[in-house]
Amino acid sequence: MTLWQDFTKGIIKENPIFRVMLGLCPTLAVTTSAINGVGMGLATSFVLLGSNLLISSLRKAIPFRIRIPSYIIIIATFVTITDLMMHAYLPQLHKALGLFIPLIVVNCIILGRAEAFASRHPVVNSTMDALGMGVGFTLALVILGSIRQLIGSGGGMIIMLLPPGALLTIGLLLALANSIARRKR
Amino acid sequence: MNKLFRIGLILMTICLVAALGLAVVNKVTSPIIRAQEEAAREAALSEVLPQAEEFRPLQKDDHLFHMGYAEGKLVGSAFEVSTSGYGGRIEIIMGVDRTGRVTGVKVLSHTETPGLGARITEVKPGDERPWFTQQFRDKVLDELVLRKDDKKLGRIDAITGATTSSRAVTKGVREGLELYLKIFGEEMGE
Repeated sequence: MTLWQDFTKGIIKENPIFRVMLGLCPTLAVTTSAINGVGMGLATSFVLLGSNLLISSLRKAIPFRIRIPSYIIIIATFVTITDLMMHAYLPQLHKALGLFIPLIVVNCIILGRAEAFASRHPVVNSTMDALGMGVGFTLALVILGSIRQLIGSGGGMIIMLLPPGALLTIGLLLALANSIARRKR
Repeated sequence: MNKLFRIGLILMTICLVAALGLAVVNKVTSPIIRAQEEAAREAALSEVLPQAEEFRPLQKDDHLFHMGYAEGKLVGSAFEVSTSGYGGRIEIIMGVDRTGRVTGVKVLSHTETPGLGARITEVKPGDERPWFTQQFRDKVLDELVLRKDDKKLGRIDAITGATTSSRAVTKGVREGLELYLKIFGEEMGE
């Protein structure tokens, strides 16, 4: 795979939400509006970039048998440091994204990419992978968030803002993604 | 045995480095964060009791009241209330004037659901303050109930789909005012 492909695969072909289906829990919880989607997407992308970078550069040093606990420690530490730094030096942004940052730790995309890609590929490729996945994730969140907000907000069908609506929306979008993928084959 | 030892050692090293990193970052950022929270508290006091020019702290019955003064005269009090919301505790700061009316309510922190309960701090485009908490201004004790809970006296509109959060904030403000009236009731005139 070329470097460029490492980046673009995360956007459509291996979109973390619609194709690989990782990190669905925080996705559904957070996409009650488009702007929430953007915020969560950006914050997660930042963490994904950092964790992929760190884990890729340490991949030769971490023994195979303890890779999962090692990744978890690295990721959780990185998220906490990011949270504290943002709180201190970017207070406005932190206030806007505040609730999402702790949620990122439970996002399977981070651990998923660390295990599936960053631990087996050089730093440059892992960076591209993180960027692509980040873009794809943010895109998916914005789509999901926009739909739910348009139909559900401001006196619309409230159910769209609640879990049933989230599941319905993502179900339909997944069906759409699958049918498009099938046609391409 | 050697292999296991080596693995354990590496894991320990990772943990140590992580802990060290966290300790350092925490040490550096915590004074900054605390200063920010102080400044936010100061600003919040003026926001909920705008008539006051200066505040003096007063500890009464285990509660901290920020007594507000303008031109040397007591105009009211600002104090914090904590209430149980849908997703956890909601920290509120509220101001009361000398007639027992609420002068302002500000949500300091919460962990309510984004898009639903979190709308207690939502500011409509063009506005300066959150519409939900602005409702509490100029209300007296009996009016501090949701309209849907008390059709006659209630004056607070709940957030659609976030009744629990709305009720929680309303209850917090009401109980705060009750506490204030209980402690300062006799000293109020006018």
